[in-house]
Amino acid sequence: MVRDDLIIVKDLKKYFPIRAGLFGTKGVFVRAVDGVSLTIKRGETFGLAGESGCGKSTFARLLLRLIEPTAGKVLFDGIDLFSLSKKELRKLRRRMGIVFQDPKSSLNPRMTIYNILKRPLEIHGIGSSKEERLNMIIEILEKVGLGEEHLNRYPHELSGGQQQRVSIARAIITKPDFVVLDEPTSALDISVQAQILNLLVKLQREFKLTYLFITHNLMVLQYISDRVGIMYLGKVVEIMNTRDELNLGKVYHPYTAFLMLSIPAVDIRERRRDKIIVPGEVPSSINPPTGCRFHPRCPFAKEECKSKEPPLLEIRRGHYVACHFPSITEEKLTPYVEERMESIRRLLRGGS
Amino acid sequence: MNNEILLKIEDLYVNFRTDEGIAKVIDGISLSIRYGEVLALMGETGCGKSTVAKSILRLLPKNAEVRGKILFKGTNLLDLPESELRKIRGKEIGMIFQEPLTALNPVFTIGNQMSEMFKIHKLRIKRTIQEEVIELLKNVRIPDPQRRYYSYPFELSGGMRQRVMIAMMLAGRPSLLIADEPTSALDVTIQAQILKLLMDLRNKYNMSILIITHDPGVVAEMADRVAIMYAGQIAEVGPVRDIFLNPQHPYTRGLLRALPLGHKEERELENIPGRVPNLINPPPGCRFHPRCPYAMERCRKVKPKPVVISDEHYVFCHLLGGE
Repeated sequence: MVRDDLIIVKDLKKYFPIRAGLFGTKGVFVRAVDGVSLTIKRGETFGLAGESGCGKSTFARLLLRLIEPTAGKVLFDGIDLFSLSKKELRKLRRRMGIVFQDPKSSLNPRMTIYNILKRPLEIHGIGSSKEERLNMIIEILEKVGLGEEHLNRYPHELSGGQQQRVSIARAIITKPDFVVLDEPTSALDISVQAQILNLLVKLQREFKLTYLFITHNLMVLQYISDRVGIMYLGKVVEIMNTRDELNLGKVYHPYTAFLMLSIPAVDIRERRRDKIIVPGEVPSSINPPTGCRFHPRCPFAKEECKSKEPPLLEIRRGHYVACHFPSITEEKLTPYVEERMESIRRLLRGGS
Repeated sequence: MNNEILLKIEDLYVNFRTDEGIAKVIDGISLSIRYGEVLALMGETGCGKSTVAKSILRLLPKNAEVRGKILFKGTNLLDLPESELRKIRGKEIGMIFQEPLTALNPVFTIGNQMSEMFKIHKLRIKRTIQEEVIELLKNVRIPDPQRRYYSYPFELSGGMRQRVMIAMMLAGRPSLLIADEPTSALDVTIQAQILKLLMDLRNKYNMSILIITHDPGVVAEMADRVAIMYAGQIAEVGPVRDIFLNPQHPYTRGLLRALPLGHKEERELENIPGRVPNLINPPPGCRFHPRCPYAMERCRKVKPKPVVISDEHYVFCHLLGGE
C-alpha cells in the first residue's frame, strides 16, 4: 500500500545547549525547534517559511537526521527515522536529498562536476561499472539543463545558477523520494531564480519528488508550494493550502497576516502610506515569551495569550492555526491580505 | 517635491583596469534626481548600479577611471578637491549600505561613533552632543535610546544597526541619501519597518533618496521613478507606475515576468535566455542584444538613444523607433 503521507513529524524538538561564561552555564538552551508536528504528503511541495532564527533550517536538518533531535519522532514512509542504526540510516539516505542556499560553499571547489556527481553513486553503490555511472551522470546533467561539456569543469568556472543546477543534480542523482530545498534561490538574481524554480517544478513532475521548500521569500513561497507552514520562534503557527487559502489571502494567524502584508506592493496602485506593519523584532529563542510566543508583538494580545500557549487546531479542513483568537485576525487583517493577493492576481492578468 | 534638479549625472563612463583588461562597467549613463524625489536604480548583479552610487561620492577603488559629470547643486563632484568633497560626503550627501555591521566600528559605542559626526562636520548644535545623538536615535524610533547610546554595534540586531546608520546619516541633515540595498540583509517584517522609516524621514526632511536595489518590491514600495540598468547601460527609466504597468524594454518585460507571482500550476515563469555579458568585451550597440528575442541588425551596431514613451518615460531600445 502506498501511504499518502511520506513524512509524519510528531512533537519534534531540538534544543541547542549554550556554553557561556567561564564555567559554562548549565541548563541554558536555544530552543530552535520546540514541538513541531506536521505531515508532508507524497508528491507535494511543502513550503516552510519564517524569519531568521525561527528554526526552519534546523527542522529540515532533523527531517534528514543530519542532526539528532532532543525529543519527538519522524516517520519517513512509515520508518521511524531516529530508531535506525547507522547502517540502516545510510541505506535510507539514498531516498533523501538536500540543496543548500549557497552552492559556492556546498560544492567542493577542488572536485570536478563529474567527481561531485560520482560521489553519491559510489556511496550508495549505484551503477556497476564506470561507464554506467558516467551515463547516469550525463543523463542527470542534461535533466538539469547542463551537459557533457560541464563534466570536467570546476564549480568556480560556472555561474551561480549553473552551480545551483549541479547541487540539484547531486541531490536527485540517487532518485530520491524526498528533497529538502533550503533557500535554493535566495542567493540568485530574479531571472536566474525563475530558471531554477521552473527547473524544480519540471523535475518534481518528472521524478515524482516530494519537496520541503524552505524560504523567507514569501513571493517564492506562494508560487512554488502546494501547502504552507509558517514558523515563529520554533513553533508552527499556521498550516494551509497555498492555492485555495494563502494565495487568496485567507490567513488567520496575525503573524502570517503581517508577513503577507510585508510583501512589498508590486502593484503600484496598491501603495498605501498607512501601511500595516508589525511592530518590534523577533525575541530570543533562549527565553521565548510565555504563552503564545507572538504575544509581545501582537496588537490583539489579551491576558490569555500571555499565560496559555495556543495549540495548533484545525479551523477548517486542512487549515491549522495556533491562535486563541483567529476571528480577530479574520476581522482586522484578513481583508487587507485578501486585497493584497487580489492585487497580485490583477497585475498578472493585466501585466502580460 | 519641486521640479528643481538636485543631482544630475551626465554621460557617466566608468572603466576598471583589471589584469584581464579594461572592464567597461558604466557605459555613458545620464540621470537626474529632483529635490525630495526618490529615484531607484534597479538591476541584477553586475549591472553597475552600485558603481553609479559610489562614483557620486567618489568611493571607487584606485583602478577605476571615471569620465563625465556629476553635478550636485550645480557643482561637479568629479572636479572637486578631496578636501571640499569631504565636506559634502556624509553631510550633504549621506549613504547607508546593505550590511551596517561592517560600516560601524565594532570597538566604539554607538554614542561615541555618532558624536564623531558632529565633531567632524562641525555641526551646529542646540544642546549637548549626547542630547543631540539621543534625539537622533529617537527620530529613527530606536527603543530606549538613552541605554542604546552606550551599546556596542554587536549588541544590536540587524534592523537596529540599520536604524543607527540612518540616524548617523541624519546628523548632517543631508539633502540626498544614497541607500545601497539598505534592507537586503533584513527579514521581511524588519524590511517593512525600515522602508517606512525612510519614507517618513523623506517626508519630514524633504530629502531626496537614491535607492540601489535588485528588488522590484522595494522599488514599488518607495520610488517615484526607477531606472532599470543592464550591463552598465540604462534600459528604461520612468515613473514606477509606468514602468511596472507598461514596461517597454524587452529586458524590463522579461524581468517583471520572471517574478514568481501567481502559482506554479497557473503559469510558468518567463526565462531570459543567456547570461550577463563579460564587460571587458561587452557586446557592441545595445548590450542586451545577445539575449534579446527581438534583436535586429541595428541593435548589434548602434547604441540606442532614448525614445520618449510618455511624459518622463524613456526607453533605450531600437524597436521603439528613434532615428
